[in-house]
Amino acid sequence: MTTAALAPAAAPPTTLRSGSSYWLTGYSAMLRWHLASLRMWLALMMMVQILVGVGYVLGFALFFDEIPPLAALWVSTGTPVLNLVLLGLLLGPQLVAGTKQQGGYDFVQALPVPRSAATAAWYTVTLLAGVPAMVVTLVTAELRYHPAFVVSPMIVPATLLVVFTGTMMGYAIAHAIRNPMTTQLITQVLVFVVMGFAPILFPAQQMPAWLAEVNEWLPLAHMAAVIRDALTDGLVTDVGRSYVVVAVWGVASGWLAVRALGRRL
Amino acid sequence: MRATPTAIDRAFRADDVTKVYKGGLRANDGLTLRIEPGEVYGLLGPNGAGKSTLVKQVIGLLAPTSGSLAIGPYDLVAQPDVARQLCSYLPQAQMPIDAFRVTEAIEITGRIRGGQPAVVRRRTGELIEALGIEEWRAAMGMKLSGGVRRLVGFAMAVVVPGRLVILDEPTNDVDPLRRRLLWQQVRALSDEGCAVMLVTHNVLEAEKAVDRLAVVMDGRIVAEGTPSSLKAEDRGRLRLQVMLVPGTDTPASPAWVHSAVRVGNSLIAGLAEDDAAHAIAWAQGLIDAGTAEEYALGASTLEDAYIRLTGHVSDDDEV
Amino acid sequence: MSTTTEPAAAVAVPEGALLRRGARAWLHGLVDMMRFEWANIRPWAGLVFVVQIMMGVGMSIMYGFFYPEVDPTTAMLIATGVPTLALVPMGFVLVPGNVSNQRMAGTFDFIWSLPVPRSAQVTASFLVNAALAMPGTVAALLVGAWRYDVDLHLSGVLLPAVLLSTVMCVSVGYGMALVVPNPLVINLITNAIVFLVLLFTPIVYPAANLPGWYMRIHEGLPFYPMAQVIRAGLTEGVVTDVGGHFLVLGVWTVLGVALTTWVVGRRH
Repeated sequence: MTTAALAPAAAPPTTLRSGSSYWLTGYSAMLRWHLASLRMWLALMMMVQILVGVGYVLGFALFFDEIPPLAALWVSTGTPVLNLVLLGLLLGPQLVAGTKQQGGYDFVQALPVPRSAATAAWYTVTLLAGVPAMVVTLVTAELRYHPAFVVSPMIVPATLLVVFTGTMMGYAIAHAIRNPMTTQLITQVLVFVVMGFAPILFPAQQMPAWLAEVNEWLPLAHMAAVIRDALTDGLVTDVGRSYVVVAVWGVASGWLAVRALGRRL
Repeated sequence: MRATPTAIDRAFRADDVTKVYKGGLRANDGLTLRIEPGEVYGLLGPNGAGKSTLVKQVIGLLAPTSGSLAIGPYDLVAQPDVARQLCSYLPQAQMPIDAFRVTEAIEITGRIRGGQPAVVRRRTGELIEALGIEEWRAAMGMKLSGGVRRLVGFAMAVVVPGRLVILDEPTNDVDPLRRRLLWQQVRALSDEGCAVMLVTHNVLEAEKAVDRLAVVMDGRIVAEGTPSSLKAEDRGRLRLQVMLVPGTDTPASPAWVHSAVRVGNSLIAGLAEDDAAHAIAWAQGLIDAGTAEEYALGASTLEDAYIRLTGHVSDDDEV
Repeated sequence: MSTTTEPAAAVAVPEGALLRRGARAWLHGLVDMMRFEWANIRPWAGLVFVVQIMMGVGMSIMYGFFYPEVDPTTAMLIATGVPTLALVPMGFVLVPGNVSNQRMAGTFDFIWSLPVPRSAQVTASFLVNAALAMPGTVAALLVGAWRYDVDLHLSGVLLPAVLLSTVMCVSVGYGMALVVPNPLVINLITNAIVFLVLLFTPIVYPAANLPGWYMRIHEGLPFYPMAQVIRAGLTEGVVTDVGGHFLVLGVWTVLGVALTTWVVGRRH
């Protein structure tokens, strides 16, 4: 084996990179990195998405002898939210916790990619992971319940916003919390909360008033509201406020996450 | 090491770097050092000496409590994003490449570091060949042994090297043959003008691979210089290693022994060249008495200087 | 090597290093391993405890929200079904999670190199995990009964029902986690199982809601029988064919224990 004659490419860089081409290179390379990283269990992820989406839509009916139409509509328009936030909010932090435990975290954090490009790449991935699942869920709901769907173009900004906020919240949890065990416990609890303590799958009236009130300030109910509003007509009141709440949570979480990433103890 | 007119501009400098953690732990205490482009600089020290802490501050994962870090005109503490561009880093921990193919991991990293696709691809191929891992070029990360994984990690760190290449224990788990290949690549990097910061606790390897080194203990540099300058104090000294019979007590050292450290069942003693004959006689006597099994007498190595400076032994099996 | 002619003096065997066998040794091993497991878990125990209780209570309350109105039958079903719902995540999420963490930390290599019989090691793990889950299960039951105003009639069946169910859940969860090496995969699988079980099993709603063919499947899976035997321990005259359910549960328990034993045995 010979010593490889080094091509000129091996010489260290003489200029600093900056600007949009630097950002784009970082973005596309991190996107490739994430997609390759997740490769092994992309199939499993899809399965879970379908289980969650189709599962809730069909399974909810089993709770009733004959599911009332309103309940059917509610679960059909709420379950997509679960699909959209599954990777960003619920699984993402677990992944990061895993790399912290196994040791790969530092290397990725030390790569020369602008933090915003890295975040954008991750957002792209969570979008890719959530949207197809949402479509499958909606198709299943249509076939099973023929609910009164009225789809408006607002579904696009609603989806983009919900994924953004879910991903930013997950990002903040993943990077702001140092201890991987704590992260895991928090995400377990979150799964629970998302399932039963936020009026996503059922209307808020079925909860105690105080709990419904708390959910007015948390983003989950409002995520469901903006999606529901884009899929139905006249069911959701004050959707403007919901958009604002979701957006604020997204921005605040994002800011927290960026601060955590930049934090050097 | 090439001296170029702009060498001073491009050097890496750490000035009085101190890192105190919450709770009072002084991981780094006034570290000052300088690495010229093209120089391979070793940071040697026992576990917990503060070497990895310094590295993390250079690369921007931690911030120093006080002191400065710079490469050329760039302040690494004020601009951690620039630090990440200027430095490439192989961390001590395992690389997160379970789901990546070997070539893929190296190429994507090369792209992230700003290399042109075709050039990166070619260099990846060259590195894989030069490190002797062609057999695994298409294999998935999770299938690789620890040593091959380490080599892939090394390739990821140097495919598009920074001005400062930081290698934290690069040869962990790597087999002896490929270690040599790795060190050849490190030398090739320095020939091209990269500064290399090598963190290791393996003295014998360090001795052969570095131009200069610093011995770090408890967050401070206790000695700095070329391997031979560090051994200067030991010049004219010999090293006697006596393998004791397991279970026996350490025999008392005669007067002409300068220092004696027991590591497991080996007694390592320093002595003056002139006392060589005494040493042989004494060791033979121990064997005859059934206290020792064999002995070896040789020139003192950097290991001995290391023991003298730190009071520790550098091997993984510290007693 | 030494060339002396004296026979090498045997290196003194440390006190107590002779091979130990027999029931006393097994019990010693069990207690030692329990201490070890407890020491491992202790920093997290408080948090895990709290989370378990929250989850148990949470589930009790949550299911009520699914309905526009909770009638007495539903109330009874929820209140007596919740203990099952609390045990399932314990066995199928908590235990595998624990096992993965221990595997990643290298704890297992250490545990399995100790001179303690495997069966004692595994039993110790089971006991500690089950103990951690008990408060959550009890809390779930009490809160459920209180919230939905349900009168409970405790019967002698309750204790064996809970014991057998716990062993089944923990052993299947443990075995599963050992068979699947990748912690992320195990995470996904376990979360999927919990989703499915909590939704698609007639634990908190009547079996009559399900299509017939689907119901057959559930009679063979362990979750419905588990719910029924526990329910039988908490009510009077509600559950029929308790014996049949115990049988199914028993078979699954044996399978779980066998799986765990096989996996633990084959590694070394």
